Amino acid sequence: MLTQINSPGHTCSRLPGGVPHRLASPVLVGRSQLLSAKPLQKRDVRRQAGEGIRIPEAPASPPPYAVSTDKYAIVELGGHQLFVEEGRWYTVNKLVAEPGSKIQLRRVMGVKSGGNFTVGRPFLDNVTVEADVVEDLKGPKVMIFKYRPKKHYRKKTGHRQPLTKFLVTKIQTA
Amino acid sequence: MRKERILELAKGFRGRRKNCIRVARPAVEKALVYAFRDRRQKKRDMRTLWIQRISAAAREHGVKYSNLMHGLQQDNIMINRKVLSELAMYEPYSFQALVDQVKFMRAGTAALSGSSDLGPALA
Repeated sequence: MLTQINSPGHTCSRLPGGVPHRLASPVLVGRSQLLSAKPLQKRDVRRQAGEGIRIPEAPASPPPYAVSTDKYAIVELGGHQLFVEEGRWYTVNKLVAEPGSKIQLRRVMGVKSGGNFTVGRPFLDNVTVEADVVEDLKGPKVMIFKYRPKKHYRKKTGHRQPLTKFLVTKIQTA
Repeated sequence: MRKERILELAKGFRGRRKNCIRVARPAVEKALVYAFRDRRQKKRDMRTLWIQRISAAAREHGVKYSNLMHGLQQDNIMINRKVLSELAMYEPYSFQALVDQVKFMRAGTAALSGSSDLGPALA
């Protein structure tokens, strides 16, 4: 079971420990049986040959437009929060890491794997994301031009943001 | 030369603003100033968009945006609005899990304080 980092800030003491929420099927199970949660009423607008648009009453599987991946992590890195999946590369502000080296991302705020979505308060303890640093690159040049009409003031600079591209190899849970 | 650079930047403008340097120069200057300003405004606009999306998705589950964000903040879940809106769009069940977590917490606090927090207007 994944442990939660106890936050130094406000934590509700009435909540039992452990946030993992099992959603293996569209029917909601778990502690929110107190409140009747409305099931998702999404419409399937896939066109059948010769039949027009078919809209089923209640979807038996996750709706088709939701690109529901089975394993992802929400990571905080470079001043941004990212939604990472294995096998994809991402670009963030420059990291202190050599291109070609392996890095481990430890500020993980949420993880979904095997049908369970676990969210950390604010970070998860035993979850790390391993990645390869692919390259250091510079972003496209943006022109910074400042200008004040009738006041004899204009200033022009260019800027290219240093970025790092990294490839996520593994999302390690527990 | 400076003139060629300006006419290069003036591609796509309307009428003489893209061809004649005397009309293109102030047009390009204005365009660059707007670009500077709007790079900052884009960040504000995106956040507005994320909030609208989170609000719509939360109301589908019977929670208002304000209550959802308050609940997440109290629970110290620091997922930001950008990722929340992406969850709401592409991972509806994970988003529903977060909403249920907030509802559970608010049900707990409401039961103890004796008031109903979910609001009279449940969608």
